[in-house]
Amino acid sequence: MEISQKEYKLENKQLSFTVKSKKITGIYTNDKIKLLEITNFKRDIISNKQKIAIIQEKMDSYIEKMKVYEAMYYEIRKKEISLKDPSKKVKDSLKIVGLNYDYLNRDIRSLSSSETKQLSLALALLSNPNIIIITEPFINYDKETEKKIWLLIQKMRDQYGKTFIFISNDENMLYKYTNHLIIIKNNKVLLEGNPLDIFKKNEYLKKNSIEIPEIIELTYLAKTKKNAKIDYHKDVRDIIKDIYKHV
Amino acid sequence: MITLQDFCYEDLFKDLNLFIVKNKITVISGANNCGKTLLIRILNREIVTSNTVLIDQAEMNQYTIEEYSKLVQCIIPLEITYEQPTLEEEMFYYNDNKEEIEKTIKGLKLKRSIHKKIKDLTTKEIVLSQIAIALIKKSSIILLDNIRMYLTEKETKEVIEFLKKQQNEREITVVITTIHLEESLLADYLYIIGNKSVALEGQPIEVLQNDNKINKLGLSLPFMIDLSVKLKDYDLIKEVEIDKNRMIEKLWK
Repeated sequence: MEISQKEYKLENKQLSFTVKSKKITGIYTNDKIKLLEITNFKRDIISNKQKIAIIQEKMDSYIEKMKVYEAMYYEIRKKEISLKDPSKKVKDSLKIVGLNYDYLNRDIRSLSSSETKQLSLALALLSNPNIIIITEPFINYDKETEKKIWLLIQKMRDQYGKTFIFISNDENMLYKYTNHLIIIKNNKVLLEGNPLDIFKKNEYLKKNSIEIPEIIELTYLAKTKKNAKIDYHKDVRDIIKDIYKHV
Repeated sequence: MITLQDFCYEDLFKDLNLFIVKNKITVISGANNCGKTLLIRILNREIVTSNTVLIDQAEMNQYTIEEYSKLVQCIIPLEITYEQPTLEEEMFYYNDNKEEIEKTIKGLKLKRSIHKKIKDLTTKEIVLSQIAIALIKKSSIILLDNIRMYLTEKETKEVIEFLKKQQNEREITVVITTIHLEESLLADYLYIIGNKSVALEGQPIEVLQNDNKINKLGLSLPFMIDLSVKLKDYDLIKEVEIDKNRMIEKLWK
């Protein structure tokens, strides 16, 4: 993994791609497990002194049975994180994600969905990573929880300079939240660039069995079939305004 | 029919009423921590309740363990217990009808997984395998808890469509718990839980038009429903339309 000031290049024998520093890069893939395996991110955590942290959609069932403080110290031991003051680091990490010290003695299983994700982020912060990879960051969250987690990710990016990679097969989520998109198929980078520019390649994506965000697909169909004067948007309310103006 | 009447459970449910009709697909949705998974665990008899739950007019606890495990199959992929056999061996254990097994395998796109040992299956394969086993075991009630966590939206849709097709041949009652209301578009009936009880219920398309209430309950509407409801408010269309091509034809005549 080479690091420049503005971007990180992640590469191994099979795959190579670049992510923008302090931005959110989306990776669309139908095989998240395979991607994590071939990129060998897990080894990078050790070989690069904890530069990358990975948060999977489901917390490890072994950790899930612990109390919050047990999980935090287990993570420090497991990743051999060298800390001058582990207790301070634990408390600081929890504070950043919005969990106060009272949570330390809570059973992880008693936490709500959003608190569990907050804890996953706190666990990731213990190693002070440059890049945080999250698989399916918002899957199975209601609107309020999604908003809360999104605000937290933005805070970690803007205030603490973290770079995020979202790995997902949810094209709608990737279009909504990411600044840069990489489409990986059969362990090869198929497309890389601005999410809108990529998702506008309707025919090409369909040929490659890549799903297209619904809002883009509808706009694309209106433009190509009816020559409709509507723009590509992210929010349904904006497309309504366009339709109202031109229908 | 699965009946929960005036059902209460700790601080999570108060006077909850669910009447799940036989041979139909019912979706139960609600915001995080509303008790969806708890309900599935109660129906799977993992959590004991003093309240009455009727399955085909009989109290749930009257069934023996053997009877109940044949009757109800719950799909919770991370809690798989059998490890040694291949998927094929596991399926033959429950039913030796080769043709039926092949049909199920094909329908659930499990051909590549059939000779793998169950312990080597990916989570996605485990979900599909559990559904396949439920079908060849001839369970009459299949409980799907949150399968979107392990499958893509397209795969989830394909699974529900496959189960729907199976219903033409024999009786299967399917109960799906999910936060993704898109799944309800393929279902016969939708319950949305909110404030410890049923907040909305009915035919999915009808229920989903209560956009304000659904938003207040913390759920996101499927894109085409959201668009339709808003276009209806502006008098640009008369009926909800979930097909994009038809929507375009309606708007740009």
